[in-house]
Amino acid sequence: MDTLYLIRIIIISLLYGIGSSHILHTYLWVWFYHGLTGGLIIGAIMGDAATGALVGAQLNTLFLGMTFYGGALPADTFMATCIAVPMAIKFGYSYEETLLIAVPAATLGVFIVTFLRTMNTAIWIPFVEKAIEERNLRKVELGSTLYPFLFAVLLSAPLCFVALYFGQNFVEILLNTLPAWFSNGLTAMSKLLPALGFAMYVRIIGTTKTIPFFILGFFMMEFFDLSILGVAIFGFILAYLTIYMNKELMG
Amino acid sequence: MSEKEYRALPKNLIIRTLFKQHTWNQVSFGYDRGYVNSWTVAALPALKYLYQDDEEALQAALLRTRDYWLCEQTFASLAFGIYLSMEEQYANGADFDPETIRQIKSSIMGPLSGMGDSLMGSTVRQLIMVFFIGLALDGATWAGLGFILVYSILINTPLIVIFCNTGYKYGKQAIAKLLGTPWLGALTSACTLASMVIMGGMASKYTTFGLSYSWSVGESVYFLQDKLDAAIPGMLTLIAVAIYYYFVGKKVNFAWLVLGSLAVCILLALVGLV
Repeated sequence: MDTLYLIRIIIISLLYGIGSSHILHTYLWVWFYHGLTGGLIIGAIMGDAATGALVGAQLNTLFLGMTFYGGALPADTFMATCIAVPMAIKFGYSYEETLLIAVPAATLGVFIVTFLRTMNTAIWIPFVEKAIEERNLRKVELGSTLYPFLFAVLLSAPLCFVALYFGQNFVEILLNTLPAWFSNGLTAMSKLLPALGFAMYVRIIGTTKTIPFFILGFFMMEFFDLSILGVAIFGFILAYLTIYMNKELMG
Repeated sequence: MSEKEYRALPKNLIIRTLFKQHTWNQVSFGYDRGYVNSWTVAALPALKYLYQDDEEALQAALLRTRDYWLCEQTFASLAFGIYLSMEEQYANGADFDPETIRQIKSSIMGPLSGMGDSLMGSTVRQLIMVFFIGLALDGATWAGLGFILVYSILINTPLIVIFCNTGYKYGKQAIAKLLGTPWLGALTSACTLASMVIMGGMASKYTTFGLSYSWSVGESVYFLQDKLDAAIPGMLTLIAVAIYYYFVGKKVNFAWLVLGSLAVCILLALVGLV
């Protein structure tokens, strides 16, 4: 393991730490947690932005339906990007091979986030509460900003580093020992998983009454092979008509 | 009150507190109170400005920020603007019960969050993102930056500022103004419906799962997937979404769903179907 790679994975781990502290959430989350931009940034750190952007975009399609409503996070997609992109660039693994570690990492990442939030609930919110009681404005400030931020970075950055440092051996062992049917199954899973994201989306945003709209969009794409913009145009026209006609019908 | 000058919050202080809230928003997210710490710490400079040396009033104002807060970020800025305007009026001696500030904040959280999730989270952002993902998959390395530029810089940031300013300018009337606009509710429902159609389309495009099983009769080779597609195109994907939908509804953990998918796929690979 050369020094340059070591430095790069340290930077990426720090970036992951900062990301998982959710500082500047409005911006950084949108950039990092969608593989699209995260892949590009991490690819640039690894010295190959093109591969990074491609792997990131592929990972992004895997988690496409999994948005982040009401603060619940199904998979830590930033962790997946932080692990998969360096592996793909440094060791030339294919996108499917990186999934061997990216998907477990995304799942484990949720535990980090859950742990941090539990700590916030147990430590930092009461801390600020108490500081207000004491009229200690400095503690109010630090307890909502610097302390939880450092706490998150110091906890999650090392975990990402460990995953990156040992990940290569892990993937290599898996790839060398596992038979062909396993990697075929893995590839099939990577093609199947987006369906999970969309199912989650329909569960959260949709209602039983709006499911036909989902099925309509699905078959429009199947039969006419439109672009997403095309589906969007039809979708908005249909939504307009539905709401307009509903009003008409109900007077 | 007449002898005292009305002390309005300076414009740059409002913007500064707004972005302070956006900076620390989720850093100390807690399950019982949501983003409450960020609200307190962001309001702090504004409250210090308003209450100056009156420590008791400042403490009371800080305690008023401690209610549960969980709201989609872009639309939350409207509530933040309303909150600042109400605190300003109260600090300047307006005659109302300060509890109203808390009540209004809590009562607009749900509607704002609902609108935010369907307009921003699931429609605008997803559409722009998918557009740039398409470009990235076609080899445009810069697509990730294009997404940042279009969504974060050109759309989201101006909206955050506009919402906050509207909230501050109209105070508690802002929400009535917003909710009173008949087209906004319709727009929110329209976006929900349209995003369902769009997500359906995306599910078809990005779920590329298929069976690779084939057999030959004499010279010609037949693929099982072709036969399925001839019957109902995309049947397998739709069945997969339906199965996942069922298990997500049963609150099965994400990790188990992934492991289960892997097990099923390996099974299919073992029997030579994929």
